Formats: sequence, C-alpha cells, structure tokens
Amino acid sequence: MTTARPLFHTPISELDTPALLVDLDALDHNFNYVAGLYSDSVCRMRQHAKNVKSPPILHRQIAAGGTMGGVCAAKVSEAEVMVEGGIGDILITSQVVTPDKIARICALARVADVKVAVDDVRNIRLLSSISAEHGTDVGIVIEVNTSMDRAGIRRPEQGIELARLATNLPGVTFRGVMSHQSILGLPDRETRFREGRHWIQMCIEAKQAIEDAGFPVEIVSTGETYTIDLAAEMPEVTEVQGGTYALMGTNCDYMEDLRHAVKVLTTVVSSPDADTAVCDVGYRALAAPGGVLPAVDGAGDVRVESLGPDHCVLKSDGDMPLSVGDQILLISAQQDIMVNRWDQFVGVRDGAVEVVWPILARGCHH
Amino acid sequence: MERPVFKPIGTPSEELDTPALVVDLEAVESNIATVHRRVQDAGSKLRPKLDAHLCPAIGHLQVRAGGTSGVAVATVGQAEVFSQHGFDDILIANVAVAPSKIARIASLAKRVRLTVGADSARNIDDLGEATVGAGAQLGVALAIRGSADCLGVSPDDAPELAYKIEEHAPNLSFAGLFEAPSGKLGLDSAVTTDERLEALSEAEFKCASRRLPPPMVAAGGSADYEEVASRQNVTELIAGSYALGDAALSAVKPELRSAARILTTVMSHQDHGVVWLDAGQKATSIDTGMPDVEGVSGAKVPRMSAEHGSMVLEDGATWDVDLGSKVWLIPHNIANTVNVYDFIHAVRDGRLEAMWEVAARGRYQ
Repeated sequence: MTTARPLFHTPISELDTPALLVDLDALDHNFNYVAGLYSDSVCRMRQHAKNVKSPPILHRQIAAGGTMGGVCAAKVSEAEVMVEGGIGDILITSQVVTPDKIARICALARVADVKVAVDDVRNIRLLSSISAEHGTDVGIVIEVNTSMDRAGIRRPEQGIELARLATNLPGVTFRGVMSHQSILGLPDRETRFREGRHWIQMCIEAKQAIEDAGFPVEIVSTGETYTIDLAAEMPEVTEVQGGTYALMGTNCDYMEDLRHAVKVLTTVVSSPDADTAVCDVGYRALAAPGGVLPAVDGAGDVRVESLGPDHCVLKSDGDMPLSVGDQILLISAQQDIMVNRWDQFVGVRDGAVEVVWPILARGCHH
Repeated sequence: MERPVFKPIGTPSEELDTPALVVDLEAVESNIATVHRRVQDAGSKLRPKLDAHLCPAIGHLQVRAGGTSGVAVATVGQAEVFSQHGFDDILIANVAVAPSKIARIASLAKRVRLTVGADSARNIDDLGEATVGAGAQLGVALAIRGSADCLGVSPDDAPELAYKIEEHAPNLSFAGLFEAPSGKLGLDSAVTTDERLEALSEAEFKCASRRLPPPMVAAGGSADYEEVASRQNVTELIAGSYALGDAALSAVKPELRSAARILTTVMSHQDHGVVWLDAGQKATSIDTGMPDVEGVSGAKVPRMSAEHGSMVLEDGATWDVDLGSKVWLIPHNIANTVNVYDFIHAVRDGRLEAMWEVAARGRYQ
C-alpha cells in the first residue's frame, strides 16, 4: 500500500519498477477525441469509473468536455470513492441486492444523484423499503440484456413491470434504461457498427415499450468503447458508458482513433540465454485472465514468451537487444483487470513524471 | 482499498459483506500441521513462502508451527513489509538489479538476517559494493535455472559465481542454492520432481566438488512437498500455498484443504439454471484457471467478466439458489487471489474470529 511516490520531473529511467505509467499525451488525446465526438450530439459520455478507479482522471474527462458530468461505478464502494472525490452524479451499473449495501446507496443518495441498475421486481421492492425507511430517493435504471446474457431483463414486458413498480413505490424513482454489449475479436468499423447498432437497438426497443406504457424514460445509458463513435449517431441514446477508451488495452486495438495510455514499466533483471530476457513483473501485477499475454511497446522483434507470478520472459528471434538493467514498457490486453491490482498511476509526459494519482477505488469489490 | 461493511467479531460467515475472502482457521491449522509435520519427519526444514498469502498473521501461524528455517518472499517490498511484522530471517527468492533496490536490500540487511538471490557476477559485485557502503552483512544464494525457463544460472556456472560471492566476504556470504522462480502460468504438471530438481542437484555437486558446499539447497513447491522434502540433498522446502490451499493444490494434494474461499452473493437470476454472482475477475483472479464452486452440487463457474461471475447448473442437477443467495467459491490460485484483497476474514466454526490485513499486497517493487 505504501508504494513510493516518485517526485515531479523524475525521469522515467530513474523510476523504481515495476510501475504503472500513464502517458498523459495519449490520455489527453483520448479525452479530447471524446470531447470532439460528443460536442454536437444529444448523447454524452458517462465515463466508467471501474477502468480508472481514480477521481482525478474522471475529472480530467469532465474538464475536457463531451460528458454529462457524471460517471458510472460498478460497485457501491467504488461509487463512494467517486462521490468522496467530488463527483455528484453516479450510475451504479451492477445490481445491489443485500440490505447493508443498499443502506450504503441510501447514504450516498443524500449527497449525490445516485442511480442503480436493477433487473428484478424483488430487488426494486427491497431498494424501495430500505430507501423509504431512510427517507432517501434512489434512482432506478433498468438493465436490459442485449448481447451478453448476463444480468438484465430478457423481455420488454419485464421492463414495463419494473418501471411501473419503480414509479409507484416510495423511496425510488424510475429514471431510465441501460445495457452493455460485447464484441468478439478485432472487428472492422463496419462490423462493429452493424453489431453494435443491433444490440443497442434492443435497449432502445425496451425504452420505447416502457414509454408506450406511460412511463417517461429520461436516461438511455448504453454503449462502451467499441460503440463510442456509433452511439453519437443514435439519437435515442442519451449517454455512453465508455471505460477502456481512456487508458486502452490491446483488446481494443481496432479502435484506431484511440491511443494506448497505460503501460507497465519493467526492468530486465536477467539475461539467461542469448535470445532471452527476464523482466521484473509477472501476471500478479499485469493480470493474464485466461492466460492472455501483454504486448511489448514498440520493441521490434521482442515478444512476451510467458508470464510467471513475478516475471515476464521475453524472447527475440535473433540476439536479444535488451540487457540487464534496461527498461521496457508492456501494454496489457486487459487494462481493467490490471489496474485493479495497482495502488497508483505515475503520469508521465516528455519522459518524466508529471503527476501521481492514487488508485483510490482499487479493490472496491463491494 | 477494499471497503467492506465491517462486521462484528462473532458474525456468522454467510452474513459477511460480499465478495469477501474468508479463511477457515481450523482448516489452515490442519494444513500447516500436516505439512510441517511431514517435512520434519522427512528430516528437512520448511521456509514458508509468504507471498502465497501476503499476510503477516498467517506467516506467524506457520513459523509458530515449528520446523522452519526462516521465511521466503518474492520481492524487496514484501521483505520490507514482513520485516516490519517481526520476521527476522528472510530469503528474497528472486534477483534485484536496480541500484535503488540494491540499496534497500543493503539497508534491510542491517536489521534482519537477509538472503537474496543472484544470477550474475555483475549483480554480485553490485550487492558487495552496497553492503560495504551500508556496513551490512548479506547472504547471497544462487538462483539455479531448472526447467522453468526463467532467470537463474546453469549448474556449470554456479561454482564461479559462488567464488564471486565469497570474494566479497565478510559483507557477502555464499548462502547456497535455490530453485529459480517460475516463468510459467500455474503448476506445470508435465514436469516431474526429478526433472525439476536435476539442475539443482547438479549445481550442488559442482559447488561441493569445488570445495564450496552450499549451506542451503532450497527447492519449492506445495504441490510435491513430500517428494521435495525427502530428498537427501534438499535442506529446505520453500512452499507457501499449502497454508490456505486452493483448487489447483487440492487437485494434486487432497490432504490439503481449501481453507480460503470467496463468499459471493447472487445478484441476478434471469435464466433457468444460470445465476450471476457479485464476484468477477477483479475479485478472484482467473489468470491460471476458474474457481470451483463449493456446496452447490452440479454447479460450476464457466465464465467471469470483470465484475460478474456466472454459475451454471449441469444438466439434471437442481438447486434452490436464487437472488440474494450466498455462494462459496474456491480460488484456483490463492497467491493471485489474496493480491486483490486487503482483508482476510478469519473464521472458526462458521463465525468471524479476526480481520487480518493482507499487508504485503501490491508490493511489486
């Protein structure tokens, strides 16, 4: 927890490793891209806090523009960190079904505009009774299942029933609908627009069914990194839940307008063979869900061969150009999972430290 | 930092705020007693590898069980944390080359009995220079590269480097040999204990025949702890995951129980035979494999996203799991799972007995 904070203007070459770096030029590029994308649309960015877990980074997008001023949080404790960090509008994108956590939502609702995703009548009744008991008002956003068959209502009629309950019960207010989509592989623009439009349309259909039943829908919160540009073209969408776009990962490399902003700085600690170098970071810090390997940033024919708990084994087709003591940068395939394992971002520009951001919501699973 | 709803001591396990990392003390004590007894019976010593749980309270349970020679960690930062929690004989079973890390090693060596790994002459010279400057005494052990294909030296190069260490006496001393850390994901079941330890045995023979018998010959693994401990030439077993256990370990060592489990809550139930749990990849770590389900027969977790885990029922099985139900998961890899928690809920007889800090979590540097 007490990782050393490097000083302002420390050159990257003098940083202790492994370290989680944020390239501030790349981050600002991504934030400015979103600001430009949404400058003329009804739709606005509601950045997902689960990817960056750090209020100052969320405030940076809000300052750059293109947002609706609030954020998403995956969990209640993550939402608490964001409210404490000065963000006043939160959508909790997971269902919260236990009474003690619902009480925490109610506490947040006293000081912020808090909404939570629901997909079950029993959950709305529980939220209502606890919130009414505390004299608070919690926003209800109905999650609509689209591509993932995860949480979310399966049929629009369920949405109507939930909207009716949320409208009639005390302590809660019906606010809108949300959905989250996924896409496989590295799709081209046409494929991701076609698929994204198909899935998001399911969320819009649920919205229309609810409105047709007499319940006005204020929020249509959907979209993610792969639909970030598509969503701006869909007039019914009011906000986009972009997450990965801020820091990026190799799993979203098909998004050509976005740049890799988060990288892991690591040092070669051993050169056991002519074609091999071993670095001081492994899967514990990098995250390798399902065994996925990181990429080496701009390093010619050097590739990641394997990951151990605390080491990364690099191979080269010819002689390894890296020697003991050399530093390299690795780019994660799973930015979200990786960031959750670190305590701070070291923001760098022009080869030196500009800012250190603690990852305050790291470990906020609750 | 993890922010659970803190519950009073005595709270029933299933009322803990989820997802929670819960450790059954009776099972931990049983695992520790089993392994420490068998290692001692084999005439060997145990050096608990504390990065398997990153938790000082559990490390003390291991040391108190007896038969240990000290403890082992994977990073300089972990050594610093555990030294602050009273551990005074620490092996950093890794190599460190950056000047800032070498300075920290030399400084820590003034306060505890410290041993660090090395695999190059340059690194040994750097350690020697730093310890002279700090006025410290440091043990240096050679990391022997076996089948793991990570860092380390070959047996042929070991005697030269052992001499190199002794050149820096009295600040450096040749502490022995240890099996280099793995560069692979999870347990490599295709490699036998014999194959793994071949390089170590050869290096020991080569050092001994050059009149530098290694004081320590340490090899790792909870997965084959008895086989390793029974080797005549292995002086210490370096093992960690035996204390808390995990799904991968129980599969090969059934006598070691999965003492650490994750309590989760069903947050969504839309389809027949499928529920979604409030623990996903961020609360379990699936780098080496998926968790097992405990207590719901015919159930498994085939898929996890960042914040959600799906539990599905095999054909023909039935359950009464519904919204709000509690489900226990057994992590596939305990070391990787504790690293995403700040607290361990220690329970006995199904009730909360203590909250322990995962004090060395995230100390990668």
